[in-house]
Amino acid sequence: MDDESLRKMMETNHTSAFGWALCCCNGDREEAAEVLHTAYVQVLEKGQDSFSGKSSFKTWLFAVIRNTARKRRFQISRRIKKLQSLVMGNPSRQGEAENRYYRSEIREQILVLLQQISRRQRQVLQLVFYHDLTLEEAAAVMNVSVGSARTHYERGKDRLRVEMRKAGWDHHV
Amino acid sequence: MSKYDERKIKVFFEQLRQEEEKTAPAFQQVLWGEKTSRRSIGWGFRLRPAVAVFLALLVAGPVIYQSLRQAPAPEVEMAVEFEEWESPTDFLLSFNDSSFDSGLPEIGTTFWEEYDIRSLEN
Repeated sequence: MDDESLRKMMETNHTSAFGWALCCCNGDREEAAEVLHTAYVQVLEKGQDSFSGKSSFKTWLFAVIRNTARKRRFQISRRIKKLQSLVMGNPSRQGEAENRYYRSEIREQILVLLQQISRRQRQVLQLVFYHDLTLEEAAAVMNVSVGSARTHYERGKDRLRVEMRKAGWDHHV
Repeated sequence: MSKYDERKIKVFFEQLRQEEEKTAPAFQQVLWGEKTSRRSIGWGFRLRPAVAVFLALLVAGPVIYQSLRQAPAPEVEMAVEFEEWESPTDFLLSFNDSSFDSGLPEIGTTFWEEYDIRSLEN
């Protein structure tokens, strides 16, 4: 697959990929955009070799995004940055303001509810209900077995249903 | 879990998707990291402009070299002109050797004596 084809496929899946990046970054837009940018560059640089075609392009791209977000979380530089911001004040006020602007009331409520379930549960539910992936595809993206994905899926649904009832979310539906 | 509950969860995520799709940044903006730093872009991408410039120089280099050889540089032209230039008072430095030899005063004579001898000879 050449660069141009990769680019077109990324563009086709872009909106969905951004939604997935947001999920992997706990709803932080600035962080999601950076993760997605890094993932796109990686795909263009190594995509021709690493995309084998065993899974769909979307599943593969989502796995790249998830891995990029995971690596990023553990980067030492982020820790240093946070330490610096604690000592010298947070320089990224603009990003926070932007996040607040884009967090509509409905999205804010949804994100609060999603914070009540574990990261794995949140991810598998988002992949199935938001991105219309099968459980097998979701398991491939998350790099876990199908059985494990199914467990997270069932527990996540039960937990979310309870939280939705508590928050009176039935009125929104 | 009932089908109704699953449906509620589906609608819940559908609403989230609609909200996020409305505010998703453009593909090109994310691809080129317009709001983010470029540090994660690999060397392959970074070197593309440099490689393009190098190739352009490789093609245009001989043409430029030829044109430079045909027309002398302004500095060279100026140096040539400078070499050929003569001062308007240069003639003062040239003299007739023979008159110089004959005009030399002898030892023991004063300037005025010499002057008188010369005026008599002429």
